[in-house]
Amino acid sequence: MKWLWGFCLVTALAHGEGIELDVPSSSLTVSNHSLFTNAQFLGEPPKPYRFLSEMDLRGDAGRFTAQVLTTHRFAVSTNDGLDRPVTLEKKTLSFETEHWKLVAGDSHLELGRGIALSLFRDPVLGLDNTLEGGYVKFSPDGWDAQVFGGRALAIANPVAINPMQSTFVGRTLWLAGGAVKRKWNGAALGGHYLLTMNRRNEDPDFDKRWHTAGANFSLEQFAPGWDLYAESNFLAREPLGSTTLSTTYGRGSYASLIYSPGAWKLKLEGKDYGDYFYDFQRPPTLEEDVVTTLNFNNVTAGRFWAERRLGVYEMVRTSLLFGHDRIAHSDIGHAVVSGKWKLGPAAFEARAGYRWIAAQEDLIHGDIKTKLPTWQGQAFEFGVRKLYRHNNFNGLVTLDDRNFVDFGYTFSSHWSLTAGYEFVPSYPVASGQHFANVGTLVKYDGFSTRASVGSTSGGPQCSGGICRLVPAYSGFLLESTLTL
Amino acid sequence: MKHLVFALVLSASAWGAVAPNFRGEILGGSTASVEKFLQPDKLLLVSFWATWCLPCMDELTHVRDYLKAHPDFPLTVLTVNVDTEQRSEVGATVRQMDIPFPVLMDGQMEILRKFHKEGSIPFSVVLDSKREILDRFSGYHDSMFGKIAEHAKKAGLGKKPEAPKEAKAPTPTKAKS
Repeated sequence: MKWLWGFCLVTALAHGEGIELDVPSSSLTVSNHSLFTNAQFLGEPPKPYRFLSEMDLRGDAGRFTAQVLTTHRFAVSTNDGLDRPVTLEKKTLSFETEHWKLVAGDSHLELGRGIALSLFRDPVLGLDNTLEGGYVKFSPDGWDAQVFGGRALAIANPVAINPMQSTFVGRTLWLAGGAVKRKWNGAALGGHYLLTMNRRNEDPDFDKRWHTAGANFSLEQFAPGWDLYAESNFLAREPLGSTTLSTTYGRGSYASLIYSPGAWKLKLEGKDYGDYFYDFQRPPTLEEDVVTTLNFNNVTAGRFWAERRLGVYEMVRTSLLFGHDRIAHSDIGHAVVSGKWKLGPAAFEARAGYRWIAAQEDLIHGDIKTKLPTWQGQAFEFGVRKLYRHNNFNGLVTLDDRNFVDFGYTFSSHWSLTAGYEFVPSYPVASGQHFANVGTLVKYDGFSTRASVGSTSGGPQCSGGICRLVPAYSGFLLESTLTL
Repeated sequence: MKHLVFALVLSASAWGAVAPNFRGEILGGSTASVEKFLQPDKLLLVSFWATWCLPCMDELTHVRDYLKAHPDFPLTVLTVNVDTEQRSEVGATVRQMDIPFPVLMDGQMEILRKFHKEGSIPFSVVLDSKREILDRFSGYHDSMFGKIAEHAKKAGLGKKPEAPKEAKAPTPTKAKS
């Protein structure tokens, strides 16, 4: 509550003050994201209707910003014992000038491309990881320097149907570090260091310590159409206390070289993660096209990627990844072809790919989408997706066969209807192989709401290089977002 | 809870729809805040996009072509890129698509979520010179030009240009993070 009053005080103080001529120095943004649902996983007992809500209050006053994030959870139809009327999740007070940024409270944080550290928010997975502490950034001309320290904090009540288990649960994690970057003529050279201390909640003392040091280098337009980025990290995991374990080491590197002359874009990327076991990262996977991902702890791979624009709308793209997965002890590959074109008023997008882990997994995926404008801004949409995976793990053969059909009709920029059908023949008949759902989306200005009812088959869900298996679920869902 | 509601109502009634200020690194290295792009005689379109978001490309290329065809249209554009995995290729995409607008980098989507909690793109907001939010567009729909022209007319800016003839349906795409 102290934070709320502090927030009100800061915004009130700034109300009559004008730092910039003409431009108001103050603003207040209120955002709410809520979910009303009785969604239950198939095979589990019925769940009560529950209301999950996240309220984000943000006030800007001159160079100050204050932000408070609260969550609210209620079981509506019956008491499931998990009610949490108000949980204060995050609070932030920041001060920013042209060269300085000071943050007290919660902040998202990333070092380099997320190999060394990434504390991020992902509402799809129900993650909102922050550093609760202090953060200072100083950016004089040609330089960026930042230092930070504090405790890692996950959101307690994510507004998501099936939130991902946070890697922070059951432990307390303290972080301290800094980064510096020198920028000149399109080039930048940076370095960072991070100290992470881990304590299991049931233990009084720290049990692990990680040291991470890394460097990155980028060159933009070093020759006409050419860009380069390279980053390398070194990780030392040091056990603490009375243990016979010894310090182990890991490495994590990523590099990309891009050549984009005119309508072409050619990219060569590489990653090399060796014994890089650190839970609080979001490194480049080179596999954003696929519905599941490789490990990013012990793998080396490269990808060639080419795209050719054929017009404002039309394009073709292809990519080929090849590497070695040291956890699966196998070579890996992934080839993808996609395109986008128009036939008369109808627009089409298509993508197909084949991914393999030698002698262990074959995965074929494909999708095609079309949109046909009808009249006065209305449009009919149709999509088909297919995923077929054959696994052979030490002689144990499993199949995953998923087939999706989606229909949609957009009545205006404010309203659309959708319907979906999923057929999963690889599921047992007893648990159901057919899934259907209908939904509608209404949006106007800062408000949008989506209602759906029916069932979905779940399956692999990936976001930002992090994947997990979502179980099938059914029920009613009303999701709303309001920003004032 | 009562205090919270009271503070919200009080503050909302006092402020109106002034956009939150934001600052970030411009593609190419310098740092800038939104106020640098506000002009007294023009509206500002802040357009959020990512390299993997094809509807976003549609929006940016249509805005680019529309402003080329209507040079007197009282609108400046600031784009905000929310790529996480493919940040290396933002500059290449800008060149490939011939996007003439400045690009603010927002890999953590913090700026996007100041305006749009849902986090889906394409998403755009129209600001006036006092940083007040005049309109928001979730998904791309070319009726946006007509709406922006109406706001410009109300604000007494420029001449009202013709709305484009081609009609396109909105295509919201969920942003991945």
